[in-house]
Amino acid sequence: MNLRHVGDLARVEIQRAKSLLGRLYIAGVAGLALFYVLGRATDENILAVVMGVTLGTTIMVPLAVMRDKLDRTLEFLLSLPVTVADLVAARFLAAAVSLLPGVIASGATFALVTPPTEFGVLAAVAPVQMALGFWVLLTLGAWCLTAAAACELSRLISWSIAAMVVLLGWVVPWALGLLERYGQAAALRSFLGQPYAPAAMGAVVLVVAVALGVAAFVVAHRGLTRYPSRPETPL
Amino acid sequence: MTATRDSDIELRSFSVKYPLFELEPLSMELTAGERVALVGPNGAGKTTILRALAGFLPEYEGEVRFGGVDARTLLPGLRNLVRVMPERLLGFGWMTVRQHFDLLARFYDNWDREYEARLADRLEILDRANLGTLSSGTRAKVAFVSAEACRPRVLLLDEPTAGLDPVMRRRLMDVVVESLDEDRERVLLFSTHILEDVEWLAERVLVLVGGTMIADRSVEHMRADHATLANALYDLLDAR
Repeated sequence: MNLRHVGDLARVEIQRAKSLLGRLYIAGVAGLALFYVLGRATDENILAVVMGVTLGTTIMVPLAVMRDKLDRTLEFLLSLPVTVADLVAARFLAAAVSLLPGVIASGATFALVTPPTEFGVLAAVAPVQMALGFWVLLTLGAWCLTAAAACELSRLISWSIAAMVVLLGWVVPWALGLLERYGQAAALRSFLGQPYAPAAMGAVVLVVAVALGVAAFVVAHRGLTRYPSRPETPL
Repeated sequence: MTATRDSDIELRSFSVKYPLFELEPLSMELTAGERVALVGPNGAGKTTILRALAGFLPEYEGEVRFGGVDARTLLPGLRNLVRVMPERLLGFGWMTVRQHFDLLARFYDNWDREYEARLADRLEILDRANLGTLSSGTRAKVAFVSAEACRPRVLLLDEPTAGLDPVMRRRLMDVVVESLDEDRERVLLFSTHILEDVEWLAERVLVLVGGTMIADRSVEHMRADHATLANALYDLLDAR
């Protein structure tokens, strides 16, 4: 893998996602302004808007990958003296980097507002760790979507977006509620307070992230490698 | 015996099978310095050959060798050796011509900024325009500079003058000839339907019909056998 080429390709990906990202941020700011005007700028709503906008940025790179085939820009990228692995790595890097502004804003908002009750035990997590966990989760989501887009699994994309919404909107609060109900929250809070907790949680997250990341990379690589062999692909 | 150069090309029993098209096994050699035209009706297999030589066709039977080395083992570095000017410009529509050239310069080891500027000036390309807004003629010119600015050892042109007005077509041909004259080791292989381009650029003509190569002749011999090159080509194509 040529790291210089990966960096250059990632810059292109970020550059072309910039206008869409800008529009998304403007929509977020407009949403916040609306809440203030309507007198509904509660901590919950502010956090929901900031985290919602950040969630939206996960589809920027997968969208670009889908458009590549329509705009014939994939042929252009594949015509450069780069490997498919360089291209996939660049997209994964761009996906992770383009999430950073939203993740930082989410972390800052989390530090400034009182987390809603639905957050349960997560309210005890430090904002930096919260932001880091959110970034890892969304980055993995963006990588999986990028892999699905590279393989033209459009159904998988819609299903994975639906799954992510259900996971974040229903399953996670429900699981946290269960923890609260059965008195496990105190134990979890106590665990989170231990000095080894960040390292233990970090190790678990790292293993899951590496496994999912590698799987997504392999799927995306396979999707892009198969593309030029199609007879209908123009020169 | 002459030494093998990296621009010597060899196709050995090269064939491609698609559901609706089959390129019959084809063997040929192009030696450094040759200027070769690929002629034939639409769907004859001209672009397929160019794609294989440019390394865009990973699945084929037989062998494609550059300087005696299998092309598949040379990727992605092969793209520094072989550049193709596609029939339609490839790139991001939102980029300006300048940004497009800057992007290419970052990826090609041998990209020559001064030469790029000279070519763009000669072909009257405005580098502030967005690729997506260019006319078809300007797209062709930008595609040519994109392929030529790194002085590839093997230059492949797919219908290079399609969409150009007669004056610009002549100018592009002049630029191609001058560029190749500067280095007589470079190989030019181009596909075209315009016989004037063949007259202007080629020393050798490969005629393809329906996936089969029906002729591989020097322009000189074709001219000697017929009144004009056009007559020779029409006779060959009519005979099929």
